[in-house]
Amino acid sequence: MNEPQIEFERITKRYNNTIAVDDISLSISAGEFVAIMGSSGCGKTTTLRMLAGLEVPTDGEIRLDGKRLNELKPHERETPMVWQSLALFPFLNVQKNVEFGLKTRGISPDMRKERAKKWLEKLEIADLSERRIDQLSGGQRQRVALARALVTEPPVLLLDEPLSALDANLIVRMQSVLSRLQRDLGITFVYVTHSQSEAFAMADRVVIMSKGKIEQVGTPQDVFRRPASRFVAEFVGSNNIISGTVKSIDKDILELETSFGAVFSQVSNNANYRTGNALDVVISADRINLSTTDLAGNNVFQCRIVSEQFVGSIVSLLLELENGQEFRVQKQQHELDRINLQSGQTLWLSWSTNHAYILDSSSNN
Amino acid sequence: MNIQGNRLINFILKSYIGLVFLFIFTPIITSLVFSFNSDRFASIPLGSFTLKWYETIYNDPDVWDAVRTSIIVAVSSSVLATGIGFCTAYTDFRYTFKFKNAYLALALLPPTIPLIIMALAMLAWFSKIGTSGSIFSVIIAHTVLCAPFAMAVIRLRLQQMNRDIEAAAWNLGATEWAAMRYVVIPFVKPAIVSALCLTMAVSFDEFAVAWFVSGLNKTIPVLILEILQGNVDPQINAIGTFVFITTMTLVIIAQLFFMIRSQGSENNTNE
Amino acid sequence: MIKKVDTYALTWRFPLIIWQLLFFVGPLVFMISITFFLVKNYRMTEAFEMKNWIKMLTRGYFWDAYAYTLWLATLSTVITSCIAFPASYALSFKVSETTRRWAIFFLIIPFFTSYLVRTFSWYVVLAESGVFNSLIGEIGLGPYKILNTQVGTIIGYLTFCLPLVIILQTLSLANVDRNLIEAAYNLGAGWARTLLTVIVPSAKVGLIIGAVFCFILSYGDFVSPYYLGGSKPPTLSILIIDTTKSGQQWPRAAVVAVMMMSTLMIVAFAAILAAYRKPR
Repeated sequence: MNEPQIEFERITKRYNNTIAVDDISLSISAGEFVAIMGSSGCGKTTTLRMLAGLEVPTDGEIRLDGKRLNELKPHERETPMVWQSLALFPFLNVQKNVEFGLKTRGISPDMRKERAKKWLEKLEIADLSERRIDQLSGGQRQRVALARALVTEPPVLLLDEPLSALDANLIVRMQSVLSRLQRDLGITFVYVTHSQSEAFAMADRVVIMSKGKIEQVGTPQDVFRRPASRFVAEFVGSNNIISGTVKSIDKDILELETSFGAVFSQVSNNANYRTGNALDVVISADRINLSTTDLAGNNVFQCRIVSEQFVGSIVSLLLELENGQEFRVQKQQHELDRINLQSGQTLWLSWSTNHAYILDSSSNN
Repeated sequence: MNIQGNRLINFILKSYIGLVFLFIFTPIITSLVFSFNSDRFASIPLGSFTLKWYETIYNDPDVWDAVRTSIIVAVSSSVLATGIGFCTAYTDFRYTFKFKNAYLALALLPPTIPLIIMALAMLAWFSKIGTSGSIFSVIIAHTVLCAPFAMAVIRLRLQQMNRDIEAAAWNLGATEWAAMRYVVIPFVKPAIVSALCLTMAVSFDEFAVAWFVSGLNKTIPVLILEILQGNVDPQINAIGTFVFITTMTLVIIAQLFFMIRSQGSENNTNE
Repeated sequence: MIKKVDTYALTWRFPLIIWQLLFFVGPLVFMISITFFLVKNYRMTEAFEMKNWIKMLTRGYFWDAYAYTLWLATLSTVITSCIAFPASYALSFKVSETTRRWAIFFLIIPFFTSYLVRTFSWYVVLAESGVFNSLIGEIGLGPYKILNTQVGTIIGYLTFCLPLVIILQTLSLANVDRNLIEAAYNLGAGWARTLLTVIVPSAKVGLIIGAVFCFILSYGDFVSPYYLGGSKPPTLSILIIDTTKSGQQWPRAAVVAVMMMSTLMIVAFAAILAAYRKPR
């Protein structure tokens, strides 16, 4: 990896008595697509706004290309932003909106026009340049906001929940527009969202925040398969989290005593687990196999279907063991063809020992 | 109670509204009608149609002086009041600070003080600082009385402004001053026009304070007051109608500009 | 932390502070201080004496005017509120939203017609040989003497206050939760009972604010009592005008003004307490 482009060093933001961002450190390299994700109030927007200079950190240092940013006013930074509310200027037409950042930098009208045109074309809205903002559709506004932010050709683009106002179809389209744009331009995108699907679909790295702290930084793969904490495992959503105590460790197989029986999980040989320790194990919903017959073996449990839900080609099932423990399972539609899905039907669920991921016990609550 | 009873009550209530409106509009309509009536002492049946009262005021140099004074006062004080009102509304919109409640009280209190008291206080104060009887006294006094209205109108418009758009301007390289010039003022512009008209109308009608502090620079309402103190003179109706048409025009313009809110009225807040 | 002076913020904050201190607070404070000044040879001289206060507050005519003004303002408040209420009630519950909006628009118009001209119109209409008396003369009534009586004054006050009071009452009544009213009917409460136990308490704040504005306007107005009421006996406002205009006795007028202001503050404060007091 090359030198970090953006650095947050022990950043804290306090408002009177509440802490919005609590001592976070984060490095972002040039050209990365980083998504900061968390539920509302977790401090993700505040973090982004501090980068743009709209909030001043109470403690710590923010650097861009090694230069300290803390004291710079928003207009002295090269960190344009795409706003959740888009914040387009309602009294200016599309062209003038896009030119705004050039105008404030004292660029001549001819030059402004030329550069705005280039970006309007790049975002495929050149024919709308004379329109008023309230004559545009949601997706078109989105493109204007992007063009307006990018027209100064900044090293970094900040995006604050830019897609939250769009409908589902448009979100998917804009995701691919954004991904392609980021790859083509090769600039850094810092993208704040509460939506896991947006973050996972586009980001190189995901930062998960909760209560002002960073819970985990990693690739979408990492975060999904190897959550660093119970919070992340729950936040990512499609996980089954099982609590239990360590019964025995045999080489790399750990046996966990749970409320519904013994669960086996693969661990690395040098891992430091002791018998009697409490542990959480995470099994992704898509890693659970279903069968209509008892397979016998480890990690196999009888269950019945409580409910099913079809999301496109994916089927989401809620299963219940005999003792009431619930499991969430996601399968491709075609994988379930041979099973007659019916509420109350008896099935056997199972997972392989190397798909049960043990959460770091230090982050257990 | 049955539907019949309800219908009767509704009918009575609606007629009552009609009566109340009749009462409220009687003096306005009477003044309009009698401004065209030939009889000196208004009575039923009416005399013949005439424009002589309008001719009288048209040929009266005092009326023209008063019109001139009124226009100077109304224009100057509306500009000043709208300026101060804008600063205050923006401060209230953008900032929180210690003693903000006291600040807002300072801004909004003038209309609650009876005009006659303001008139005496202003008279004493202006004679103390030596501007008594000059047109500036009236302008200053009317600015104090009008600023709260301007502030209210502009504050309402700012309420419709998405706070992000000012921040977006900074984010795109605008200093706070540039953002004010290129974003806040363009957004608020209709309300500024509206506030100018409204405060002009208020100033155009105010008589108590103007009467006390104007000295020889009589405004139209002060002139009316002085004619009133003399005899029954129907030219008051003519002047009144003229004033009514002027102020209503201003108010309607104000209203039209205030209703331009189709653009960017959503007001999002951030996490 | 060292606070940096934010010139931008202060640019917007200071105009009001400077202007209002110079031309709003300044005059009012100065007016209070001149109550202690003396007038010698028709000139006001600085002093700190209680003479004006003693002079005014020991005079019967001051207290007569004081009592009369309070009485007139109270009467005006009660009458205006009572006349306004059925109209506001009807505008809130008996007409469509559009009608209500138009009604409020029409109620705003009078604010921008000269109050003086409207008063003059009443003067013409109500005169003994005026329009009103000649109209009712047709059906064999009258003529009634209305000008230069309390009735005249109250009609003037009504002209002044009624539109504002109806607007304020309507706005607060229209905000009363309809479900609450519906619930009261369903529980078997009659029309009058619903009005008194549900609607009036819910709209209390707006009704009181309307009344307070009416009181303030009537209390300070001099046009109606002077031109329609005949200024006998004078009200406090007329007393201020007479004392200021004829006698150059600004300090004494200021005493009257300070008394007026204190009274208003007490009334307004009491009303606000009443408006926001929690129900038992």
